[in-house]
Amino acid sequence: MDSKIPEGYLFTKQHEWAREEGGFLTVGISDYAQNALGDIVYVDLKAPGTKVEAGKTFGTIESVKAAEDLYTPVSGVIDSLNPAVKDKPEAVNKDAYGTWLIKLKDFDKGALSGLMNSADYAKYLASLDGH
Amino acid sequence: MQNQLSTTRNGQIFEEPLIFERSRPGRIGVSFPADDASLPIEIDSSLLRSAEDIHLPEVSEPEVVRHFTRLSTWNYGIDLNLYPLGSCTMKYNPRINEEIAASAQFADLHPNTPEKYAQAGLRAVYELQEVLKTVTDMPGITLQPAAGAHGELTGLFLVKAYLKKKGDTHKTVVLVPDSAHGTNPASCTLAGFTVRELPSTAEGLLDVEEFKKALTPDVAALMITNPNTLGIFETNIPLVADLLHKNGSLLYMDGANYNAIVGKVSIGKMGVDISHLNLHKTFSTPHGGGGPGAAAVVVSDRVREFLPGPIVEKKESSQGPVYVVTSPSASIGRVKAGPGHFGMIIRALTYILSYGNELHRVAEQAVLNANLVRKSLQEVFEPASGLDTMHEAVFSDAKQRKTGLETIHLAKTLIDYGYHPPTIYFPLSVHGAIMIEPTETESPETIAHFCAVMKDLAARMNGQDESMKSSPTRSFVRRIDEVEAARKPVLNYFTKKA
Amino acid sequence: MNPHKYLPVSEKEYQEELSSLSLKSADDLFRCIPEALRGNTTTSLRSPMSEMEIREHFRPGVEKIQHTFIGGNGHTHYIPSIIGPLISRGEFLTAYTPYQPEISQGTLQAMFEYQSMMATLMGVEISNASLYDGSTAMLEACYMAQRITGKSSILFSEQIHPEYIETMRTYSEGGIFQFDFVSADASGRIDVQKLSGKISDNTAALVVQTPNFSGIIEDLTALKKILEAKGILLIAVITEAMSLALVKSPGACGADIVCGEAQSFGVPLSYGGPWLGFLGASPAFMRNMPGRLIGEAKDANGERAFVVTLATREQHIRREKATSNICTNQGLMALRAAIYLSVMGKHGIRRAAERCARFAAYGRKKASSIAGVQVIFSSSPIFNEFVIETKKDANEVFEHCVEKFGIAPGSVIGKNRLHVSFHEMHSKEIVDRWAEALASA
Repeated sequence: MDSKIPEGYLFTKQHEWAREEGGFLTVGISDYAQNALGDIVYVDLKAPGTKVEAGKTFGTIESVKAAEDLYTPVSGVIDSLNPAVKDKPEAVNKDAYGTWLIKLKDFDKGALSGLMNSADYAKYLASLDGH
Repeated sequence: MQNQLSTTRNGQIFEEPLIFERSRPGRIGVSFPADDASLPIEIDSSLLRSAEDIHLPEVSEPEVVRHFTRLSTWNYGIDLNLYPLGSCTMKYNPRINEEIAASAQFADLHPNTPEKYAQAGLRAVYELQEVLKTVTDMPGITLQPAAGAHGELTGLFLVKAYLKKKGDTHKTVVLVPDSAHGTNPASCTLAGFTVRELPSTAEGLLDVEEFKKALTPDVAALMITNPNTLGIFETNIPLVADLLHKNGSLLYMDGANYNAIVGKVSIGKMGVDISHLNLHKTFSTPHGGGGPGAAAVVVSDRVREFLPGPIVEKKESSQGPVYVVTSPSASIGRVKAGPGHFGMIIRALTYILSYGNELHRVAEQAVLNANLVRKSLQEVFEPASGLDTMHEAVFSDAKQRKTGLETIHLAKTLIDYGYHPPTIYFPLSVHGAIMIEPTETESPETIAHFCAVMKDLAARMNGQDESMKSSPTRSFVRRIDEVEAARKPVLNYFTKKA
Repeated sequence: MNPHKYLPVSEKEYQEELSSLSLKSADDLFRCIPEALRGNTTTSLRSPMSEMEIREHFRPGVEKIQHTFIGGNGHTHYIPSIIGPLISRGEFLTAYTPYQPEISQGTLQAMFEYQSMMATLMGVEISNASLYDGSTAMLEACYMAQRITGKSSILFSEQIHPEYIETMRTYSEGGIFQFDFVSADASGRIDVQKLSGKISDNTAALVVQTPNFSGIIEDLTALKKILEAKGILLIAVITEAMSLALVKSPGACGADIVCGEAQSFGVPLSYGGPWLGFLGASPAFMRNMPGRLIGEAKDANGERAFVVTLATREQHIRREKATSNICTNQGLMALRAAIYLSVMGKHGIRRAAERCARFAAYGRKKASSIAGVQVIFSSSPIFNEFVIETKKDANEVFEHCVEKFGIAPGSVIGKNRLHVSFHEMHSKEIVDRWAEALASA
């Protein structure tokens, strides 16, 4: 279970979170995701300027035992990458909601309504655990 | 270390540095005659490497022997004890195989030797081709692939060629069960197919209804492991083959688990079009710490014409049989340089000669041993399926969930008892999977001892023995910080940053 | 039921095992298999053979070939005597893939040593722990280039070994890359003008074999200059790894990916395999590399240890998105190479390579003065191989040399062409005899 789903974040079914901040859409992964991955060893992000379509990936995130694709919540263009994550990928484990991965610009605001809010995401997680 | 001056870490297990740390300037390990001194090297100096730029160690011959001998003592091997690794078929590696493979007539034979002077080698390849076709009951075979995954890729290229000839290039999807080995989908990608995953039944078998739904016109083939990765025979395989063929699709059988049925069952009658057999599994060639392997790919008449060359054929002549190299009429071409892993071919052939018409006893004893394990352990571990076990017994962690301890703790603690862990967390469809394949070359007392150890571990888990979380404690090294190794990879002694 | 020496049960024990499972015969274990599929398929095989009979079965004919000049892909080189006994130790020979590092440190440290030595010989920072062989290593390098650049067209020098090119054609059916060729110029090296003409916006890499199939050392530095400007990767393929001990390393010349065949490093010819594919590149490409990678690490007690790392690239984790489908590699052959490079060492391997080059240079001079033989590209730089054209049919020349002199004069690569290869176990006298054999053909 994700112990600390904060308010004000939107979520995808693939466990990415999104927040509108200063005209950009900041994207990261949830606490549930970092816990499932285990100690994160590497984050590979596509370059700024790359167009990403909804349903497609903006990179991969790796632990020792898994490599998961990172899916963009909505279509947009990658504006910037979090430099901290390259040298210290463990930051995502320590603080999943405080460690952003990419910022999107020119993003599809309308599509944000299709994402889950914190309460819905909590319900979604409960349905996954299943025992 | 107990004592600063001790060269051993534990008993007779020695410490040993990297070979580069043993190196001392001026020492040599080999010698050469000096009879070339008068002949010039006629290469322009701009093309030459400076001798100083060769950073190989300087060590004497006895030191090299000591170095690698010490390293070997840190390893587990079949020669030491049982490997209960499911799907790996870690059986005894007979030494007569090694002796024949190392004989000069084979070891020194260059693949470009003209056929007239390579008859002994060609004859061996021909003999293995023939005997494997007989034992699998399949009409075609190639021995070129270098490993199981390579055999899978070869098989998928055959599928592609078959479809291309029929004009069915829209068939670009391969159905792969979720219980499949990772090489299956990886091979599909390299062959240019997309993977459509199929769910298994609760019993771990191919779900025939799901398969029928997924069998759309764009399906090129189904890749199925039989017996499957839970050690269970896919009884529906002839039905599935029939449906595939009616759809214009082909059936690929991953033969990684062939040890369960070798000599007992006809692959041909199953309706299989292409199957690979791992010579380093069923046919006893050694794993060598990761390889080499080799694969035989047996095929039905549907795809025979596409097989990679070279294939060896026998022709009669006035002087007796003559072996020649051929390539089928519509061959996909070669899948690697050279004829194949001849060294493994000769080992597999020698092995089969040792059994002859008793080869099926391998399967009989292998399945018998796995059933002995299952009978003993199902008291304490939950079998993953209620169906008949073949050569490997698979358990889930259902009975251990409440203990707070997991499969990984059991596996690592097993090391402290002197056993290699079984295959764990595979297949993905079984929670906390433990897959045990004893193989046929284990005695009753070894099997009984292994089961006693597993029961002891189950009891410790029930007792919530937290010490299991810090295992292993009696191995040469303890648990390794794999996270740091992946974050800051150090892959080369010479380029390490301090 | 007679006991079999590989099955550790007496007849009595076997029956007891069956009874303990309430079975009457072993056939009962196969009741789960549909009747229509069942039936022993072994009845037509001969009866089991003893070791004595097996040895007799494989008894060789008389050794016809005393000295060989066959090369190309696969080379005759001195194999130190310690390699066989060391790799035959059960702890190395019968060990599984080192997925449980705590009980595999022998294999893992040896592989780290192999990686380090191969990387430095290639002139790159990172080597993997082996691929199947040179031909498939070349393909893996092409897939890497496609992933790294996002482009799918690969240019191949025509002077790459024909079997490598045939293999490439088979693999190209997978649709991951398209290919085109660049021919050689009058010196036997890749034609730089033609190369410039073939480069497109979709070119991911140029693949060059050096020394090439005619034995000529290619000018990688010059090629790199042309490719670098366009962001095209230079892939160097080495079929004769011994050349790395004498010729400037591909890495030092600017090759982005170095790959090839290391059978020359202590691996027996064994009629074509198992051999030893190698591949190396810079750390920038590390996560795109295929094959196992062994890294240095620490254990819970702070002791140095080695472990399979960056496994998320591999098939068992990444499945259809893996960098390769490779699972079993050439581990035992890499161990042979690690022992070979350790005992040959800095000086031994240089001496061996020098001998190869000296005998080849001498042989080329001798061949130039044989009537009925013409040396191809006779003034271009070679390491230990070159091609000769024979007036007579090359197969006839080959047979004549074997039957009359016990010498295999080279590989027959065309109706009138022989590819010839020189190694450190030759001598001036043996080369003289080779020339004599050719002259008399």
